[in-house]
Amino acid sequence: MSVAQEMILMLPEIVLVVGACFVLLCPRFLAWPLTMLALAGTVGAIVATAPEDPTMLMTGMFERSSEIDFLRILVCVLTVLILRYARGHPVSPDRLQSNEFYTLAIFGCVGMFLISGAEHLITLYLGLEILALSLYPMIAMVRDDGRAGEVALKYFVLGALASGFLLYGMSLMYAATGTLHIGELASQLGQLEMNRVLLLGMVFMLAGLAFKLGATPFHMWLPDVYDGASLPAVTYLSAAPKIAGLLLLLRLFSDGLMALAVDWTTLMMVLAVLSLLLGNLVAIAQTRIRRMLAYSAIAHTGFVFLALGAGTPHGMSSAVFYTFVYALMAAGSFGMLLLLNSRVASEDIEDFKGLNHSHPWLAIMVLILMFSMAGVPLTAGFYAKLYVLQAVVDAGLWPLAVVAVLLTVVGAYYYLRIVWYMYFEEADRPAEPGEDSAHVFLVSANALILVFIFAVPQPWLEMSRDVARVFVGGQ
Amino acid sequence: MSLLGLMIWAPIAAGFAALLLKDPDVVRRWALAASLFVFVLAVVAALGFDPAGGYQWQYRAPWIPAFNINYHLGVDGLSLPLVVLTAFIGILAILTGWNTATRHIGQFFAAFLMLEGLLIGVFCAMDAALFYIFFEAMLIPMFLIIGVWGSDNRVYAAVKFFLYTFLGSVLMLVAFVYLAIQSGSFQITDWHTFSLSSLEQTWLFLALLLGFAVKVPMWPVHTWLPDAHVEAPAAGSVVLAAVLLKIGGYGLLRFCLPIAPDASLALDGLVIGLSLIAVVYIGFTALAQTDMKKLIAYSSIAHMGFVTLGLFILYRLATETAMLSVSGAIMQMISHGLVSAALFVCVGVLYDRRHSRNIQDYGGVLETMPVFGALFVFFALANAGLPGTSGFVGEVMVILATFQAGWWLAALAAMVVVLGAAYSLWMVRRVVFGPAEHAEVKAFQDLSGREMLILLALAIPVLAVGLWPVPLLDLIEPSVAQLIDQAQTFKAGGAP
Repeated sequence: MSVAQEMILMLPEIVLVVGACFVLLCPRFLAWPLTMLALAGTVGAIVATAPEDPTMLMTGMFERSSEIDFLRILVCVLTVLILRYARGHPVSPDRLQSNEFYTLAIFGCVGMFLISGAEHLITLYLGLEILALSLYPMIAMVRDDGRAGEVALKYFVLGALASGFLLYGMSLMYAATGTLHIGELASQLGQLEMNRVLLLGMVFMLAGLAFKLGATPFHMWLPDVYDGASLPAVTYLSAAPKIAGLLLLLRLFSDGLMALAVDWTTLMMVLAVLSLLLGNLVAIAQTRIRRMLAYSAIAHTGFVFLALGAGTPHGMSSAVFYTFVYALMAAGSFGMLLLLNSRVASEDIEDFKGLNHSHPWLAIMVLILMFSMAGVPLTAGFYAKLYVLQAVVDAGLWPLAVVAVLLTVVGAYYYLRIVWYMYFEEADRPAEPGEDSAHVFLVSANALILVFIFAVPQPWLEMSRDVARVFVGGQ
Repeated sequence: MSLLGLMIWAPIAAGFAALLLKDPDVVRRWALAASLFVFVLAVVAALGFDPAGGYQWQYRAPWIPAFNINYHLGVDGLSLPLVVLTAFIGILAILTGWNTATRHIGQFFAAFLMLEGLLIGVFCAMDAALFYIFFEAMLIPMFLIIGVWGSDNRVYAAVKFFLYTFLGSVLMLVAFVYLAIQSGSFQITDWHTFSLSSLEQTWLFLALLLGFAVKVPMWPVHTWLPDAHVEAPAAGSVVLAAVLLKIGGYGLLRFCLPIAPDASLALDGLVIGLSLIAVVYIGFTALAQTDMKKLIAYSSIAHMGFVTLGLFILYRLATETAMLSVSGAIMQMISHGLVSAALFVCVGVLYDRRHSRNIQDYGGVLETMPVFGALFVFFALANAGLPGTSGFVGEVMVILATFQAGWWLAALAAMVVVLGAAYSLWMVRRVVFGPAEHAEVKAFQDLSGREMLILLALAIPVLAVGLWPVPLLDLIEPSVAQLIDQAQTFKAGGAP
């Protein structure tokens, strides 16, 4: 393949990087339109250059396949949504709406794009670090807020530690197999006897990723970051990077280390059960909405690990679907928070009290989002849970499915609490959501699409299956 | 769109429309018109139904090929009476709640209309995933009805209702998923003929039983019901007692017995034991209540215990007697749907005048409300199973059948009649009869036209079924015969 052809297939990344550079240097009033232009251009480039079959680029370090393009488009769409949600936020005018915030958001996308196509451990690591290094300053950006600084430091130190774990695991893999290419790694592992170096490498890699994704017992940073960082940064962190995290897991474990599946599925199951247990139980005790959503994020991560822990293609596609739905739910929930927060900073769950009396439409949207998170039918969250359960039961692990659904009932309690505050209680002080009608429209569309996915799930399920097929082990 | 589909989606669509209407009177009339429309459709479906024809009015379209889930609707002799009952109660619930909501009136009627559509969906679903979706989605409007328009302790009751039912239903979901994976299909009729080992059946049976036992509700998972009934607005209690509880019995009929016959046979003692506890212990509990709504709620649990007894006693009976007991249990479900709804309407009528549910706040209501008093006594007697009312038919059928299984079982089952008469009559004696001591009671107005309409509408079918149950029995019996055949076709095939 000629260099020119490779460049054409790398066009989405190129558009993003060039766009990010322009956004960084342009006058402030141009930052927003240029950001949108860059992301829209990226989507256009993805669609225009989609290859027929999966194609290896850059001497086999990067893979471009049209199946994964769907998730990249989703990353762009979520980023646009989230930046639009964040636009009206009160702390943004002088700091967060600056060029830097948008630049970092775009560079975060570059990192996620690299992860999505990485066929080589170095590319994977590069993508992960580009994403992480965009997130650290985004969190620290509110300079005069002590808490933001504190959590940024915490996130940075733990994130760096996790990267170290991951790198060390990769180096052990290299020591055992002599290759960093994921495809070669998979075929080498298929022939090797299991040994301690491999096992150690695998455990280190899984620990590193569990840190990044916030699975129990590596979750400590997550509630603090959700609570302490600025709301726009948390919103960004909560949605699209989850998709990148899933792709990392799929690429490393379901693809590269498929030969060791017997070992890592057990570990993932442990992580899954611990995350579900801790996330759901601790979320009940939270009074601050962001901490509640943080623990709920841990619980949802548990579900993704549960799906992958089934160790089957079925499990992988259910993990893709689950993450896809979760990213939409998280974006919608934080988008709603940003809307409710745009004039009065309301951080307590109690601030939802009486929302139905003052803003019935918004209350219905929150109701949809919460029931979807709880996995109640008429929302996409139900299929997400159903799909994972199916994969788990199919793998013969029905006791785990029982544990998971019982913890879902625990989880339903804290989602219900928001609904009952909105509908059953009177407001202590009136809610004053923003009157930005475009924001209201986007949040509503974000919630209603969950109902739409419920009614017409087939295309999304097929998409998940196609994505998972790209990774199916050892090819 | 098929007839059944229209019955499900028309009220849901009408509910969305009600959210947009502003004028309270327009909303009320709109909701009433929508529920009448559904009832007309239900009558059409019933008139075009051939009892011997198995599943009818079927509509099947692929919905989610990835999971092999179909949008598949249909009714047979077991579900059709419940569909008609739901449509009928739907109208009365709207009428009962005519003046309940003081604000968010659109939301109030929207919740009831959507609930009605989802309930009809539960009874019409022939695909288990579809059944589950309706089964659980129905929690959302009911949760809001109890929580928003209920009385003082409504939040507790609403959350308890939701979590109890959710707990039962998620285990049921795991059972469904397991069955779907093993059999490759979500269609309920496929599961009826699918072979399972007895170990599998036992686990599936327990998971399904828990899901439906919460809904019935059976002792000891019944505690949500008194709370939910007491706190719900009268219209909510009507739907809850008349239709929601029937889903539990319907689920046992549709899933537990035919899918896990070996386990049903092995564990029938468990269900019978729990049913008898419900009949006797909960019957005594009802006697001790001072709150009228609580009393009727406990009476509902006792009567539903009688239903589960009638269903599961079938393994101890010869086939003809089993027919008698299962048909009797279904008759009892329908009768209880009508009678308990009427009793909750009666309590609602009193509550609207006195704002109290306590028995001792009343007495001598007959002096000021003679028409109401007569109807209240009539429904209380129907609750006690007076011959000539619908309550008698089911009770006598089940008790007669139970005799074959053992006289002491029949004697315990007959306690439902004895205790039912005791608490029902004692309640009306204290509320309706005697001298009117409270000044408020002396100022009562008799029934308004709307209230009279509701109670008379309920009295007619109670009498009709009681005096001439044959048409209804003819309707359900072919399906019951098929069910008993399935429930006695053991399929474990010797596997452990």
